Amino acid sequence: MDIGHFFILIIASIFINNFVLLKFLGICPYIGVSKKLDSAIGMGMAVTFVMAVASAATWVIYAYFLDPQTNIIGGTDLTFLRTIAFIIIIAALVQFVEMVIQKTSPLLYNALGIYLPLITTNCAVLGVAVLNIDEKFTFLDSLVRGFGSGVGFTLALVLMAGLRERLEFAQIPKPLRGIPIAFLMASIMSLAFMGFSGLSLK
Amino acid sequence: MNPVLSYTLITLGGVGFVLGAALAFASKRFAVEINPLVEKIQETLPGANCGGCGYAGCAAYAEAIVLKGAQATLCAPGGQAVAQKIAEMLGLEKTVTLRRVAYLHCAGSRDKAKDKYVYDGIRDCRKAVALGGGPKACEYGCLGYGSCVTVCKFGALTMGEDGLPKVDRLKCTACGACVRECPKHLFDLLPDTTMIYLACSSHEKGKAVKDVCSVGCIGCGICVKVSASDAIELKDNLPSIDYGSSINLILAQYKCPTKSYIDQAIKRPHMSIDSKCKGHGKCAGICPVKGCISGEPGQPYKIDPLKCIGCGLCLPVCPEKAIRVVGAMGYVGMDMYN
Repeated sequence: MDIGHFFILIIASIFINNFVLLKFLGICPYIGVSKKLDSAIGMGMAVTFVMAVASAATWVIYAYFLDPQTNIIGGTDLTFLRTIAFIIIIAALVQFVEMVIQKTSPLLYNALGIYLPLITTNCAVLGVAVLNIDEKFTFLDSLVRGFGSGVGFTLALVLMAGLRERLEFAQIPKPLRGIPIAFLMASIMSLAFMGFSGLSLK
Repeated sequence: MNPVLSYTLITLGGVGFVLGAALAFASKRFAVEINPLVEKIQETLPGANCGGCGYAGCAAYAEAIVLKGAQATLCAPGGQAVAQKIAEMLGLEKTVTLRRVAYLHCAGSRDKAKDKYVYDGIRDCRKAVALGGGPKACEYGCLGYGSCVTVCKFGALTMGEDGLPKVDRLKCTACGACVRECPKHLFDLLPDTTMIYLACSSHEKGKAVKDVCSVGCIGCGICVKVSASDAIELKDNLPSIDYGSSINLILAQYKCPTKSYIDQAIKRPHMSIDSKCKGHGKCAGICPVKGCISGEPGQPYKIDPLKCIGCGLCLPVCPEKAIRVVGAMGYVGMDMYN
């Protein structure tokens, strides 16, 4: 339970286990929202927030209701409900976040626009929740990993957006223009990030 | 009941109930008051968020209409129909918007205008302009890298084979994105009834234009002279035309020595003289086309339909009203007498 442990957790989820570039989750918003730097940053912030809160909320539901070892309803095995329960929680969270932001910060709400509700179906959010459970993380670990993964997602999105904004002016062969070159770039970036998997943080 | 089943129902039902209640509470607690009229107007707007109205998007424009009293006619994509609906919602009288379309004031395609150097950089007009005004030898010419095409949200612009953007008149909504984007300021929003327009923006002197472009305006002023209208005048070596007026540019286009005017009409009507003609010959005197109207005084005159350019100058001078407009497309010949 020291700071170093959380630091390693964050670095690991940003670089070594980047959800987009190394686990290939959340590819849809990654390709869809990385055309402009502004929207990429907005989406990244929203996803980071939802990932962190969803990690915590799903961990609580799993530990206290679904997991037969620790639940408060007499050790009945309800783990098969994991996916549906998590999706309900994430969807409700996104709705809630949307309402709060709309009330408290109309500016941010306008900036995020349609990206907010899109997070509901972002598999990276569900992915981080499920992985937290699979790897038997504690509550705090889950929260930190959720936040770190969100930052990793933002990093991938922002890098991609920066590249794609420059790509607009490049002379690309006609068949490769648009999504094809984006896919090629994404795969090369993914290869580059694979280099981090050799990193050992102990 | 099976304990797994009952616990499933309790857990999922409980989670659903709690979250539902929380959301219901939140929707009340965090409800944002929106003027219902703003919402209604926003629904009426096309939602293209093109910014043609001068506001950040449709939502901002809807707000500006209700709260700041902005004009109801600013939405170019929505046009007349939307403007009318908004006016009705606001309880205003019906308003009239004039449909406009983007026009490119340059005809210097690759084969007609010369280059001054070979440009192999970023395919973007704004970047190219930074290098000595771009590769076109004409300082005012279209560079053809399609910056306007990329900013058009309605797919109304395409880059033609000749290196000039083409406007799809039906898709153009006059949002003005291309007008703002073009570093050479070659686009202009004109009434879509404008068929003939000047496709040159060069203020250079005649020789300088001739050297670099075969269709550039040399500022000779012939069009100004033949049009004989207040709506056209020569300003800084380039005719400045008020396209909103009812100026007749057919003759200007016909007389232009460098063919700097472009006529978009598919076919012009031509005039025809019927048997009422008593042979005054006034029409032959005013006709600008050589050999178009022929005949002997006292005998019925004839118009060569192949030579007639359809300018209609002969219509008002005929005392017998013997001249008719033939083969017109949306023209009502007799109206031109009045």
